[in-house]
Amino acid sequence: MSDSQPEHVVFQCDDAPLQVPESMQLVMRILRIRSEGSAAEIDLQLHHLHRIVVDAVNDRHADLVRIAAFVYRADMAVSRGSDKDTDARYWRRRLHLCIPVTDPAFWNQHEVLSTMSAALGFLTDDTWSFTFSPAPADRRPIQTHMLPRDPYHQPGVVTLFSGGLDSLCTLVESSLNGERPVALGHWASSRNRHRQESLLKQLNYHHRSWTLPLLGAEISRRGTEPEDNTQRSRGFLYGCLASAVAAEIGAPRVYLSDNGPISLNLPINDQLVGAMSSRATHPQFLDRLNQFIRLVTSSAVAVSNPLQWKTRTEALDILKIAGVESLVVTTLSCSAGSRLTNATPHCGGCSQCVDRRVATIAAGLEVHDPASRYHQDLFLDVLEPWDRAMTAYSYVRFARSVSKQSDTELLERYPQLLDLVTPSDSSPGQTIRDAIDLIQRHVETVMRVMSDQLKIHVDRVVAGDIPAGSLLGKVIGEQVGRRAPQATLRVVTEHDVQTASIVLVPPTSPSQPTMVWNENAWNITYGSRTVSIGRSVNIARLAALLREPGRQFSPEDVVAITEGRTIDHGENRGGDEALQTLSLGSDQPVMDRRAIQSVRSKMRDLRNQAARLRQAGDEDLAAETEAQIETIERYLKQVTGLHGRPRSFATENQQRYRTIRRSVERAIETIGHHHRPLWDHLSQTIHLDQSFIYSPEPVVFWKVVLPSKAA
Amino acid sequence: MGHVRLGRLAKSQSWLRLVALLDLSDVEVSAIAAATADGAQDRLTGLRRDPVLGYILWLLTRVTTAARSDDFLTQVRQLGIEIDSSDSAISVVAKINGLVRTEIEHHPESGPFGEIASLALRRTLLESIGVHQGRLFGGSADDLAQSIRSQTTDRGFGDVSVRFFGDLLGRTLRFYIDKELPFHIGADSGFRDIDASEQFLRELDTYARQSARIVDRFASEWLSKYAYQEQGYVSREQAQGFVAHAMEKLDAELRLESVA
Repeated sequence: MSDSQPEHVVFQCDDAPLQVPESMQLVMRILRIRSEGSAAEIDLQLHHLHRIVVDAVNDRHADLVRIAAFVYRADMAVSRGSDKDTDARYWRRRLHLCIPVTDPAFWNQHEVLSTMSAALGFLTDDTWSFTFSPAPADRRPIQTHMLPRDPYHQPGVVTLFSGGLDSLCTLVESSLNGERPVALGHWASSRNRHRQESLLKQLNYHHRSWTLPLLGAEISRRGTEPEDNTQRSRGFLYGCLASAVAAEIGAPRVYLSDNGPISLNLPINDQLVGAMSSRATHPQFLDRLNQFIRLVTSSAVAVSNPLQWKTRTEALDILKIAGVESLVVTTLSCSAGSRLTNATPHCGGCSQCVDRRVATIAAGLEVHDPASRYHQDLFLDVLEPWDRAMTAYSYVRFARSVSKQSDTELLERYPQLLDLVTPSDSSPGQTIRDAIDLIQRHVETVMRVMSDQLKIHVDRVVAGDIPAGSLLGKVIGEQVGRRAPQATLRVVTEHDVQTASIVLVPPTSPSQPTMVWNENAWNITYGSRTVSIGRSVNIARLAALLREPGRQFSPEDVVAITEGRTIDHGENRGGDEALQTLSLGSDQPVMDRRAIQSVRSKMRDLRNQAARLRQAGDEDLAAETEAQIETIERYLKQVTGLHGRPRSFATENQQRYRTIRRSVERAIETIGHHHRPLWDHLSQTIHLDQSFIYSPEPVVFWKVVLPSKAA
Repeated sequence: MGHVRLGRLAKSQSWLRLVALLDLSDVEVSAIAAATADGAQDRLTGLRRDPVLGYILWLLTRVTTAARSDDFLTQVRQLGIEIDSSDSAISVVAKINGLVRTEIEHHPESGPFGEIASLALRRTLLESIGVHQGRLFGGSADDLAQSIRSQTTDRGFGDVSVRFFGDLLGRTLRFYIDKELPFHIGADSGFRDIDASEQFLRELDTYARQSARIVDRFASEWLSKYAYQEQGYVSREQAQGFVAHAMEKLDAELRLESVA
């Protein structure tokens, strides 16, 4: 395969003539898919368990089902590269299908081809094209197994029913709403079929007035093992299948169900670009699918996702309302599927299992979805294999990150949200706001569940008994069970547990701002707020400036301080500490005129204060104030030269200057993510021109504790 | 979440170097970024000629030029985007995205980077509104035009370019690093907990934006030249040339920081 251009893979379906555009003929590979005979690569049968009348499947609807089945099979036949394809070079493919149909003139129309390709393109990230030719007259029709009686005069909706939580919720809700749903199951295996049958049987038992016909579509791969298992085209298969069935039985609606966050599927890990996060019910895909389906079906069938604006936890409320929450235990969400046992049908670490586990806990349904049904414990086990661990970590990190973001920040961080806006959307701003609200509700749920898990396992946390590689272990980090020798263990508050970061913080004066390195993190207090930021040489460089307000630093000075050539190890010397002169062995300390003015003004205030105190007879406090004045005078002498003018020093190396300047700028930006008022303050008071200086007015004296070496 | 398809870094020398760095507790973001650029060298070099990147940059300059004109809406319509005065700012950005998506679908050879670039474009436009108007939601098409116009002095296009390339670089670095980062969290690892890893990624974003400043002056001069010579109508080829030069500068900047 060429390194730069994906090859064209052409599929000859059921011996259709090979009609391939010239542009594809240079780099082309031909594969065959048959739906009939002993060498068939795909099975295609429709089953009815209950009694729905279909005299004969309409030709166009039958063609639609065939096309979708061939697409599904072709999707599995071409590799997207292995998980070591670091650049994702092979992720996107060019696929062309030659398919025999009953009415090629219809299917070869530009509008039909373009809407179908557009829907598939968004769904799969692949480039799809088609050529249709006349099907042989003796082609076997799609096999349907039907019984002749009709339980509904007017079925309201065909709902895809996988046997998972979301599709169960939709089926129940549409029944509660009197929509007379027909369930359509995809039977890729007998296990799927039995589960769906069991669930419907139980539903009928709970609600005897309901009759829930189950239609089964057996569309499965045969022959060689799949080259790719991502099956991104499955949403197209389900949509087409359900639409064909709906059109046949006169139902105006089709439901494809995923809860909202799954439907939007924002990337929880930054390597997930485009359809690497599945889009089976994404609103953009459903809109494109509807444009295509409208052209194809003889009646106006509309495909939608009724759970679009619900989190999974909210969707589960439907089961509680209907009194059928006990069915949760029978549902299956796991993508590992058949590889597991009946006792532990869920792997515990795939994205579906993670989301399911969190949702059932949050909904208070753990009794129907106990941890024992999961092969691995999401919170306490070191998940295997590697992708399970990555999924779980990414899921929680996503929730933590999003929970701290405003609506604007979220939209800027995830412009994927704009994909929600379809051409027919009359209020795109509101749509995006609704989506953001949905995501925020979802992450609140995740954070709440994590917080609860920490509380449940607090004894193990304190005992240091949580495996470091587990999800809880990664949330808690290194501080479990440790205490800094001179620090006070701050009471672990509800907030701490929720943010899952047990912080050990030295006691501080409530009014003096501080920037303190404490073994593994910078603890920064400004105003009434304290934040903790992990190791950062940028913060260390900023701290060097804050330590001496008004002093001009060269880049070498800053580097020298942070490399520990003269370092203060955290003795609490209060405001005096900021006035200590560092012996750097190079340039003299300096201060700009503005800062000097500010310090002199403070000295005048202090002198007045000392005088008042002496008048009032408070000798002790007056002496203390005068000591402070002396300290400031000594400092001023060091930073001023002849006639009290500021000292200066020569310009340093330009490259080093740029590096250090950027470093301090980055530190300020980082602080901006955590502490907006402090960011405001620093933006106005840190000057990075020819030299670096922190010059607030009035002067602010920080307590700064630098590490013994650079962070 | 729905199904996700995760991957790892290949076990080449350059990627193993990045893995080793992620396991250290006192490494600068610049070193990690440089190691990532090293590992992805071939791909990043290939992006200099990527047609989707070229298209997106071209579109950005054309939208910028449209904002400077007397009739933003007409100029944007000439690009193939159906908008009118009743469109909100978000709607306009969404429609621009629709155009980009069609282009992406024609170029599967871009792999995931076409999509990454389209995200960077969206963010750049959204930030323009947010920065200028102070509010992202509720703005109109005219607000978007004004926001861009206020940033389309010759100097201003430098800012827009820096934001675009900064976000592109940040997302690209994250694309690779996030294939490995989850395995370096906890005791005896480079990052003590999830919080620390998240903070590192934010620092990486900041670093990427800072690094992208290298294109600032070049971008301003480039647009100034075409604004004068071609009345702002930059061709796709010219935009592609800009992308090649900008990506080259960014690559050099990443490596320079590791030396410093």
